[in-house]
Amino acid sequence: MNLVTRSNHLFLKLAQTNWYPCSTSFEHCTGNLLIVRWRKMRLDPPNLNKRMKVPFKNPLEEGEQDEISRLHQMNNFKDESLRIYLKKLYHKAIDSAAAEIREADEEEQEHRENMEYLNKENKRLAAVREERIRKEVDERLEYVMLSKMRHNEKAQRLHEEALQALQDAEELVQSFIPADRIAAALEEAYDNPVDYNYAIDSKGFMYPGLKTKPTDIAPEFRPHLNDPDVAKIGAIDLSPLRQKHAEKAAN
Amino acid sequence: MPVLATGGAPIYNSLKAIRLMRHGCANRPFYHIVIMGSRRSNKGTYPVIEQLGTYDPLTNVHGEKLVSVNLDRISYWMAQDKVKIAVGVKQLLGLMGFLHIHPQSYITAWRVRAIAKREALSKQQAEDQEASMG
Repeated sequence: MNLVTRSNHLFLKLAQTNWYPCSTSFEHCTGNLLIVRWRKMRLDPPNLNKRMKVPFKNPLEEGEQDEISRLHQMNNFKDESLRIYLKKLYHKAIDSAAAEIREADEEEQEHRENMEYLNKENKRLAAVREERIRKEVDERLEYVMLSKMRHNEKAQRLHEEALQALQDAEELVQSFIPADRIAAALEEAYDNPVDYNYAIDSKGFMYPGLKTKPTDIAPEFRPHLNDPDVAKIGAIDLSPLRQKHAEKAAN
Repeated sequence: MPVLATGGAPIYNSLKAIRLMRHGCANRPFYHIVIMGSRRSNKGTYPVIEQLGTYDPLTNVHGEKLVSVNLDRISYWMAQDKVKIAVGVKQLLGLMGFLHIHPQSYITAWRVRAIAKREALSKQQAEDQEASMG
């Protein structure tokens, strides 16, 4: 196979025995021709046309090199100190993270213990509360039963009172004078006047009538206020009088 | 832990470097700031471990060259052993205030100023010569 290069210096390159083909391209391969790129060995001398060439370097000003060296030296010191500082920060952060994890574990353990204690305490308190609630329910039931009883008694009493009031009213109604007998009742009232006046002396003897004098009634026939056998003197009911007298005596 | 740009490939305890890696296309450079294995692999590629930022060397409409850097990760990698930083990245970090100003920045600055001064001087001399001739 013939090796063809892209370079014009074909013969020159072939003359250099140390040169070696570094890459081949099959894209433009026609027939038995293969395109090859050449490269010389690392320690080979430069080309003849570049052998005497001196590379151009910008001239440094006076003292510039010293300044550059100083700057680079300072820069290296700063780089190193900064690197040490950042490394310290990094390790500190790692340590603090580990400490945080440890603290978190401890807190979790403490939390677990607290939760166990709380659960136990809650169970104890729940038992106490159930006992108290049962007692309260019993008391409440008792109270309800009593109040029901009281309510029934009261209803019964009210019923009886109402019956009594009805009975009283019926009795009262019997004393009413209907319209057709009003004239006869008036006549009867005119014919039988009732005197409600009375006098009473300091000893409690009573003298019924407006114009009755003490001398009109013999002493043995004078009714006494506190005489239990006498309920009425004429039209006068004595019981309220006796009550009033007793209150006055008590005061 | 971030997902590494190696796609899960192992990172050996070898020398690493923070460098500018050229992306973009012809006449349109664009750089990624990456940390990579310092040496080229047998396949001729550099194993990129993680991208740390970007750098656009072409000025935008406002005359700015945009740089974006993940300073947390830069700090992390600078704290690791066997990591070196390329001069270009050091210059960028220095100019943005994260590191100290790199000497190369000073050197470039004073050389540019010296060239400008020299040109102004030569221009002045040419003008003086013209005046003396005239």
